[in-house]
Amino acid sequence: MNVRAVVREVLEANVDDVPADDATPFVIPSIALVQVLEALETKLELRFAAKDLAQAQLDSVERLARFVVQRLA
Amino acid sequence: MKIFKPRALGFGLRLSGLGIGLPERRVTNADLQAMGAPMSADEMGKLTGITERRWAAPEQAASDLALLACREALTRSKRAPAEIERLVLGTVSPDHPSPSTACAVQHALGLGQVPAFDVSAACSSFVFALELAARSVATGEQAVLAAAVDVRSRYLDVSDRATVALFGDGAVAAVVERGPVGEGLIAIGVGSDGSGVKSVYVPAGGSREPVTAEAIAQKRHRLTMQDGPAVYLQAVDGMLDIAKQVLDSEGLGFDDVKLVVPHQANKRMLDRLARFAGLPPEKVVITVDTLGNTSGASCGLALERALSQGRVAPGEKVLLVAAGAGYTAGAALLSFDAPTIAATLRPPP
Repeated sequence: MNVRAVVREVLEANVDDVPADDATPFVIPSIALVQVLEALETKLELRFAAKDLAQAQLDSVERLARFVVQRLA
Repeated sequence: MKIFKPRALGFGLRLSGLGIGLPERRVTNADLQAMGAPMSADEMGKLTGITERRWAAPEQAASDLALLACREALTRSKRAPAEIERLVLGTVSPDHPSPSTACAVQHALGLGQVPAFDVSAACSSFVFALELAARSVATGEQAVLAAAVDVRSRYLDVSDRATVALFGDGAVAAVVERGPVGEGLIAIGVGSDGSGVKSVYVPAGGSREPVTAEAIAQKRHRLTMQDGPAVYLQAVDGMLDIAKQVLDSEGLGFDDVKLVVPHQANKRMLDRLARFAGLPPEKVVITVDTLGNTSGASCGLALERALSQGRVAPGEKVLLVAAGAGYTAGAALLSFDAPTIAATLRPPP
């Protein structure tokens, strides 16, 4: 599974102006981030907890994909 | 966490009357947009599931709404103010930092010189107040008022995307008294986890950071939610955890209750709770669409709405559950008798 592609697909469905470059940071509004996390949970059959977000910096496709991969591991 | 069960002490408790206090003023998403909220009305509705909420009038304080709720609870329970032996009021938006809002309500209600004090448990406040009231009746008092009120609208920054669309104002109150063993208030548990002290908070206005001109300029006297997604996940997990503990203590599961009445933070959170608890939509009481998140009062308001709409029959089990900033969480397994339900029923509009 290409996690990065899934993350991009989910982001583009829920957030405006997702940069074309996976590494470029951008602002994901917090309420939209909730939508993104829920969509990822549904698509990838996983469940996030608050502690997962403690150190996470979720401001690019690349970082979000890395976060998901760690959670899937 | 120790779950309190009146039956273990050989007697029962009942909620003999529930009352609510809501401001008249309805604030729609379009109203918020017109006030300067940085989101469209459609976006607010889509993200939160809230279409309108009630906001207190400028001259209306927390005690005014709590008073309405307490009066209605007393009327429905057929109790006179003189019979109330304690008032426990949950709030995080009191009339003043000092003294307690409960004292203002006590005086306005005409209660005797009985203990009246505030408890602060954010969105779990009503369950915390109920738990204290239950323990008070269990140790000898005859009738106790448990109430919760919040006027969060006073603390909102309309330019803050994270909070502007969420909050409404409102109050709830219940009279707790002795009842048949094994009915009424069957089990109740509350807990706190202080790791979330700054999850949803008002930075200035307390002893750590007094209100100054600089604090006001930086809007630090307003409500802030730094990490909304973490708060969202924590709140649902907190509610699921404490709900399961209370149900487990009775050997029950979600299938055994007629209704689950959760804290009304936003519609998305309620959907998540239902999904992970395996609850069908008709089993979850929802008022957030028209009342918003009324903080400490929200689950109690939803409970009153469910009873008033005839959604609960005598003896059916209802699970009240809340989670809030702090972090705090609480759950109560309840049933209601015919007189309480009859007193709460409202004719359909």
